[in-house]
Amino acid sequence: MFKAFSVLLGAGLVFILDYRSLKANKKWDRRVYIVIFAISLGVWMLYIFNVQFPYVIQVVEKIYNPIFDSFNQKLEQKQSFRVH
Amino acid sequence: MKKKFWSFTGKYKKKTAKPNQDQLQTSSQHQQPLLGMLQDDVKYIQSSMGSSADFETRFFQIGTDFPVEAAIIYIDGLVDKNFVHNFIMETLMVDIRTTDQGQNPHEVKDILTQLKSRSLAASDVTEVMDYKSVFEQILSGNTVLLLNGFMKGLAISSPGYDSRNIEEPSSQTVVRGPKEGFTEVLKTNTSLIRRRIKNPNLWIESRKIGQTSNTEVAVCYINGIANDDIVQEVNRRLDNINIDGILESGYIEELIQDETFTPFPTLYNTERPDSICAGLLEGRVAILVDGTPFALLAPTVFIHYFQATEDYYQRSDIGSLMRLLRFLCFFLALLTPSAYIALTTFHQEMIPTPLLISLAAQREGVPFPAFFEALMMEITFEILREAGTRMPRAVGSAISIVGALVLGQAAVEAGIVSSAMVIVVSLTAISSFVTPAFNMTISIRILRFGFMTLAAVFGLIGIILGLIIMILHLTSLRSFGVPYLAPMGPFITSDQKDTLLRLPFWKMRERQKLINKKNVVRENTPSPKPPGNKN
Amino acid sequence: MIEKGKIDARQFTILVVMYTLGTSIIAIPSTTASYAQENAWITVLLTSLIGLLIVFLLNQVNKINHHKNIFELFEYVFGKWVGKGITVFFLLFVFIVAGKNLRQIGDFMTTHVLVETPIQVIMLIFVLTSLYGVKLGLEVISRTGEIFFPYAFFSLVLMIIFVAPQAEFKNIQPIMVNNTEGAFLTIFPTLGTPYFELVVFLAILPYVNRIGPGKKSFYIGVGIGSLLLFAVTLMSLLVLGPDFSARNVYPTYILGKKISGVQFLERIEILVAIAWFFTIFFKITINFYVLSLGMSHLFNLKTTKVLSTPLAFLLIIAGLYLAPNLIAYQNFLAHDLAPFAGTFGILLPFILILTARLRKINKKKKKRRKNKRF
Repeated sequence: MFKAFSVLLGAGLVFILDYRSLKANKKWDRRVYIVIFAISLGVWMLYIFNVQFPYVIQVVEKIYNPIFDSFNQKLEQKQSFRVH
Repeated sequence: MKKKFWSFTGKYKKKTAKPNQDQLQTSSQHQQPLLGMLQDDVKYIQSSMGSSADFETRFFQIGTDFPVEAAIIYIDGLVDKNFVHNFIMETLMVDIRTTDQGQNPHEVKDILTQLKSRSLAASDVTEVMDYKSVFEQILSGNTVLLLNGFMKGLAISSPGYDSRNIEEPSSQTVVRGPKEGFTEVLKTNTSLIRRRIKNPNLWIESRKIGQTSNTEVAVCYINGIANDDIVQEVNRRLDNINIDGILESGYIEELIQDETFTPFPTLYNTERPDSICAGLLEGRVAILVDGTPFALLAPTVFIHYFQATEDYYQRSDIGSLMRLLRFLCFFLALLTPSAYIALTTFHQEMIPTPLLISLAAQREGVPFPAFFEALMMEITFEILREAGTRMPRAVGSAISIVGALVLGQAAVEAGIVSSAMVIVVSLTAISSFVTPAFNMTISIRILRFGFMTLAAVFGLIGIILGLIIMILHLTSLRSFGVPYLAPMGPFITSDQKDTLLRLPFWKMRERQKLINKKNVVRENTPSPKPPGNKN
Repeated sequence: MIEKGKIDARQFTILVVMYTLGTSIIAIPSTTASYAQENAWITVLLTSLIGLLIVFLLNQVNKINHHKNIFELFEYVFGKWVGKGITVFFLLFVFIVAGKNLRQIGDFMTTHVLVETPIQVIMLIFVLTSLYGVKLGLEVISRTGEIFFPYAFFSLVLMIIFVAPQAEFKNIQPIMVNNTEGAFLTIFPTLGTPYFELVVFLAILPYVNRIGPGKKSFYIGVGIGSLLLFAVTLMSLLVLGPDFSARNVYPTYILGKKISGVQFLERIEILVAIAWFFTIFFKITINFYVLSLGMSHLFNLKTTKVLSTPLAFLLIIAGLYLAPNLIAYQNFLAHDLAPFAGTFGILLPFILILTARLRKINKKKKKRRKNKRF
């Protein structure tokens, strides 16, 4: 909880300091900024509360493994020692 | 391309110039012409100046047979009294009687022109028509002559005020090199420059800045060498200044610099005329301010602060070595305490074992972590230094005794700091004063504390990240459109001859690329050869 | 044009060298040595030759239109909406690569230098430094590169020279006798780390002030970078031996520990490590910069730096959620990174060129027809 609070505080601080530099920009720019900022903050909150996402490499592995599985197995045979 | 170059300076926005409300109750009233009634005019002028104590008037008559009522006005202390007595009063009161006897001055058609061309033996005599110019003239040390019945007056140049003599500059001293420094008088300063560059292309533009103080500010450059865009930009920024008074060139510096939020100076200041002249010859623009010996030089680059004029007066190898030493000292001054903190707290393995053991033995009794120890000592040193500059000269030796003995030796003996820390702090202190420009020293000292904090939290990595941030900041800076890290930030091969090293003059054939676009070749002396070798 | 700055060819070369070296200088010796053993250096050599071919391909992409960066090219070649769609995927790729670099430096620091500091904090300080660079723009980043390049370059070269006396040639013998197939198979995963990622430079190449030297400097940059990678791999094989290089995650760092030239200068590996910090810093910054440039193109924003702050914090999350642990990550480097990066680093440029060729022919025909009409 303390972590979440401090992240929120930090986000608020960053927002106040950073948003000023956008004041001169178009309304559209500021809107996009706020949306991305909200996404960023949301993801951080999820991280703070230990919500499990699939890891990036697992996702990538799922996509590419079917195609490259045979190659990888072949490569693995050449390895000098086994990692796992 | 030209436009592109200057678009960088867009950061410097023209602020809407609102007229200063608290201008003196001035101009509009004073714009009106002279009345022509001597008594009234003088009275008005006197009352406008609040009958100040140094305001002097002297009524007298010109001619004997048909005397004309006249008065001279001047400010005591701004004029050369001997001159006023001998060349103005005596001429008008005594000599005229002997030369122009019998003439009726009222009949002479243009008596003012007559006086101007025949009687007044002063180099600069101008006509004044209104009160405003009368004030301007007397306040700049001239004497104004008013005649009864004339709506014009004569301003006779007679300045002569006490000023400091030309002395050796106190801030940037040299072993070899000219020992003259600028003084507080603008005219003396421009003459010091003129004496070094005897060329009609040395142009000096003067203007008054400051609504209340009316300080004279001169912009000097060598026409044909200086970049016209830079000259224009300097003039534009100076014109934008709207302030009540300019008491030192620091005011100007702060008002015209490119970036306001930076620890680094983006205008060079010096009290050495030879330094200014070297800048002018490189195509820079000098800004001289009346009332201060410190002149400004623009544009400037980071490297400029590590180049002393003496580098050029000594042989090139010596100059180069001194310059390298200065760069070393820059890093020492910036990083020694933080490196000490990082090594002792995070990376002990990098310290050779015998040294580590002795360091550990010293630090055994010290109750503070290395960061606090360093912080304490650095702050103490800063206090000592500040006390050293501000205190009366007479107590100077007392301070140094207190500093050296009490804070150095006794602190170590008392076990508050380790003796290694004292060495670190003294090394930092000495190194920081190697930099020839004092304002760069200040920025080093400010940044040092930042690096110490980074080192205390993240060790060497913190220092490295701090360095990256510092360099990023430095590369983003510009001084009048010229990148601040110029011959290194954008790497310019031909300018390297006068950057970290100082090559012999016969190697440096060209001026710095970014400062100067036209007239690039600076010299073409063939490299000296021994007389026997004629091939 | 969203980015208005211009850089010159030398600055571009330096950025490319930094990018080629960053992270791969730590990763390559270990990955190649574990699959190609004593022939790893041959793998790296061959890989760098293929790398130069990739640069040729990328330069061909740039040839479609010299003045458009890759995001503008997507829209130019594929049309507005398809182009935007591809931009999204490309940005995802850059985002993951940037997160990966951040994670790599974080992992390295937490295992070797700052053992007690949490990885989040290390990633935060790195990303904030990068953020400052991105905010200041491309010109400032490349000029800063010029300042740091000499240190990064010479300290690596000096390290190679200082460890050279300890080289034992029996470590790489016999050459190309055992496991020849492995040496060739390893080329593919090795291409993944620096060479397939070079595609991000298509976003910067149009900002080089002269086109011809810009292309040449791309080759030179990759050439210098590859040479150093090759030298470091060779040295770690020669000095540490193939088995030790393969077992260690950061053999280059161990190599730095072997320096003992002067008597009192022991354990100066941190000074060598600093050289890679610079390269990795520039790699992160370039990726980050391209990411924010791409985001600005995607949303038609005014400047590159608008979204950089929230993106910086997202990057940390990307780094944290990249892999559950170091071993999984090492596995990913060997198996899935190359196909993943290859999709964007080889396949996409190919498709781009092909589509452009097809459509350009149409355009030329149209032009001809127009000319005939007049």
